[in-house]
Amino acid sequence: MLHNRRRVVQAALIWLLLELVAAAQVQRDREPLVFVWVHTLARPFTAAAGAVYRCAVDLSWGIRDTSRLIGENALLQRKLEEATMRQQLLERDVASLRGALTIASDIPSLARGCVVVPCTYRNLGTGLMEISAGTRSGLGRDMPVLSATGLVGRIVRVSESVSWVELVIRPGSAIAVRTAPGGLPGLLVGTGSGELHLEYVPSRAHVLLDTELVSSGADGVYPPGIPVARVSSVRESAGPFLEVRARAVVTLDALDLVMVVTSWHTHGSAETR
Amino acid sequence: MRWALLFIVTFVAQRLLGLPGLPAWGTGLLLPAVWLVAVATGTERPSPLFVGLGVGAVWDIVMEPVLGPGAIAWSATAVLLAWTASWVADRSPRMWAALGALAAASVHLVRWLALLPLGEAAPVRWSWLAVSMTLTGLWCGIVGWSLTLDLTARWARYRRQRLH
Repeated sequence: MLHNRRRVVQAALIWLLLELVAAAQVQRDREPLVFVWVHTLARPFTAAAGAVYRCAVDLSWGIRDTSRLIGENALLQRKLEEATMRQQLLERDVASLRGALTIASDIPSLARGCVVVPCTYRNLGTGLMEISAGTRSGLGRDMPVLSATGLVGRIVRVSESVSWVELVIRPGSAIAVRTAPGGLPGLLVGTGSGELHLEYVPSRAHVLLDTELVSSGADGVYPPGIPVARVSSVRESAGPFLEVRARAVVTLDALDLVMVVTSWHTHGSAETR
Repeated sequence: MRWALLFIVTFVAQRLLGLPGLPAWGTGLLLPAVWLVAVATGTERPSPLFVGLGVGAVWDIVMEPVLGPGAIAWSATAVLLAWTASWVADRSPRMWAALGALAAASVHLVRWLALLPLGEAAPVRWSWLAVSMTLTGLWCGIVGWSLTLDLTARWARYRRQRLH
């Protein structure tokens, strides 16, 4: 009598063995049925193992792709930042060019012959600036150099591909100017600092603060009508002239593009320099 | 030796019941069931599981195309009969008949279940099951009744009377 568990298990095992023996004798799809059973039983495990394997492979690919995407994203971010910076620079350059063209169109003497040149170096201490164009581009000595806001200086040295510009602030530089309203003449001299001295203004002259000084063209170097500086202080002196200080209208330390006037003519004349 | 001979005779007779030309219901009579009933109701208790396995193995060898389902069916039936007989004190021919019918039903149903996973199981015909239960029950009942007659002792007495 099977009153204990051991005998029940024994009987179950024997019956299971007999069923397997029977299955080994029955053919299904040209193989014993027991093999079909084994395959059927093993299929979920093999499928699960395959799924785990594929999952692991996909995960590794995903991790690799993610890391690659992170790298690409960082690279793209850098490129985007670079492009954004370039766009800002270009916008500034375009604004500069537009300003320079506005000046050029406003001044009749600048009939034609302007070359836009990038700045490659400037030293405000010495008052010199290097621009990346030279005789090959048609530049020559004493050609005026403008920016969007006003006069920058003139070319003092030129080679085939590089030119040096004397800035308006350079000590010893002199520009014949006049006040924009009134036409009071004077000579604007660089001092090496941000300040310019307006010389030879009679003490009786009436000069107001913030008066714009434009080139008069009397020196034969700079075309007339180009903004150069604004009066920052006026003081009487013991001499016959006023002590007039001015500040250049051009922000020299932020210049990256300038326009070189290669040919200009005096008002009413077709002669060019 | 005598029991072994009877055992073999049982299966030979069972095989003969399936001979062509004999009535079809003859194979519904499960002659070896009587051995399981005898084990279940007897005072000597060999393991019904192994007796059933033996009967079933021979059954499979002699009567079945596949070895296994018959052994399962007969051994399970032997265990069932032993368990049933342990709950019933009656050992009358009627009980033998009842156990025989139960054995027939169990053999057919368990064999069907064992063939089911193999894809070889035919639908159970309940009429055939009833015929088999009836015939096997009758067969076991007859054997049980014959045992109550104690034919061996009667034969011995008859021989003694003849000698005197």
